[in-house]
Amino acid sequence: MFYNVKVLFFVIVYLMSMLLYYFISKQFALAGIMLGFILGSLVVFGVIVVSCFIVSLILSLLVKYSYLACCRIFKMEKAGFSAFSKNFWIIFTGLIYLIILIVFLKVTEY
Amino acid sequence: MFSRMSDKNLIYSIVITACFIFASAGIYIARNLGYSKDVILQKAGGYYADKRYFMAVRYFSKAVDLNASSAGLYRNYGISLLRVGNYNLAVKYFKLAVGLDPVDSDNYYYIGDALYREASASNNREKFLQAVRYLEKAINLDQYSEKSYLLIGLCFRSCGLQENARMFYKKALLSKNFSTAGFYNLIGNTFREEGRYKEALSYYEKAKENDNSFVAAYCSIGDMYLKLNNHAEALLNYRKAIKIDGYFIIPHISLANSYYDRNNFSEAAECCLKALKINPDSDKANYILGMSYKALGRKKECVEYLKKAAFCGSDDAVGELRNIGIDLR
Repeated sequence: MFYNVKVLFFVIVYLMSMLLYYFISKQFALAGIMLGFILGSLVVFGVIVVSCFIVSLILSLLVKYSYLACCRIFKMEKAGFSAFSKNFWIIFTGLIYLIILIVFLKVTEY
Repeated sequence: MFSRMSDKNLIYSIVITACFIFASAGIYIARNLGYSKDVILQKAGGYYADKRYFMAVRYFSKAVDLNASSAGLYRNYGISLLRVGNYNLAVKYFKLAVGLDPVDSDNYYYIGDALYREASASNNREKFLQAVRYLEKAINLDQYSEKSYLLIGLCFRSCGLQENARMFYKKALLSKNFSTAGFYNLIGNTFREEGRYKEALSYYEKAKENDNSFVAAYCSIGDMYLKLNNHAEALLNYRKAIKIDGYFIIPHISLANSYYDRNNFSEAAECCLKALKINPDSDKANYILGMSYKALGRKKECVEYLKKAAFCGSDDAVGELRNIGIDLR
């Protein structure tokens, strides 16, 4: 499973959020808007984690119930799909990395 | 946690993360190498021309990072910074523009402007005087720079140095390059700020003689007659101002105020209604109208207009509503 030491994963995501916040605040500082670095990076971290959590939850539920529906329609045996939390975690971590990459590319684009 | 560091899943996760970070860094570096200074400058110029100053600042900043440098670039960057409110950095770039083009009076004017705005925001007398020094240089380089005379006057007046402001306004008058009536009016304003109403009146009269369609002069003359307790002359001048320009709200409000002070509430109300046709969101007009209706015993209309005045920003209206027993919170 990806990042089975969850605390380490969140620490790394927070460090990436700090980097994202550095690029965002560099541009707001030009407009004279200065926020605390720790507070700002916490806000970025919070927004990314919460939004990805919600989306991952929805996607995991969709995947689970689609699979169950397909099993019923095609009269297949439900095999190896009991680990809802594992699938949720994989989607969650992948989505966070994707969002961080997209935001990073957008903020550094000219 | 540390006993599981040899866990294969954890190792794979860290390797994936490291690859992700290196890929992002690689894309960032490759992009930066690909940016053309001229394209960035062109985009910055486009945003600047469209008055999208936040984006202009962003692109000018990038252009400067890419080692672009010219007096025009620094001046436009400084102006964009001025518009978004970053006065300190604006001054820095205007000074760089001065370094590259020391004979352009506009650069000195903009430094003065940035310092003046910063001083106004923080009420810093020292910054006002710094602004004056740069504006003097602007005037020395370009005697036709009316905006420099106007701003230097504002700086002195903000410090309470009305005499110095007058000196520059009189210099502007002597140069005969600018609106005589306008500068007489400004000199009148400096006397008004010092409470020297007779001298102020004489200069407002000169402004009126120079340009008998100068509405502000009539309003100012009216105000001075009020201060000198000559209500008849005051009303006469307000009415003249209205005759010249019926869409200028100030004489309507001044007239309403005069009538209200003399307990002529129905006339005051009429003047306020005319003023509100010009600008329905005038806090003063709404307030005086509300108070006039209060004096006339029309409570419903009184509350209606006082509420409007409060929403338009009148603190007096808020206080008056609280006295009536209406709390807007």
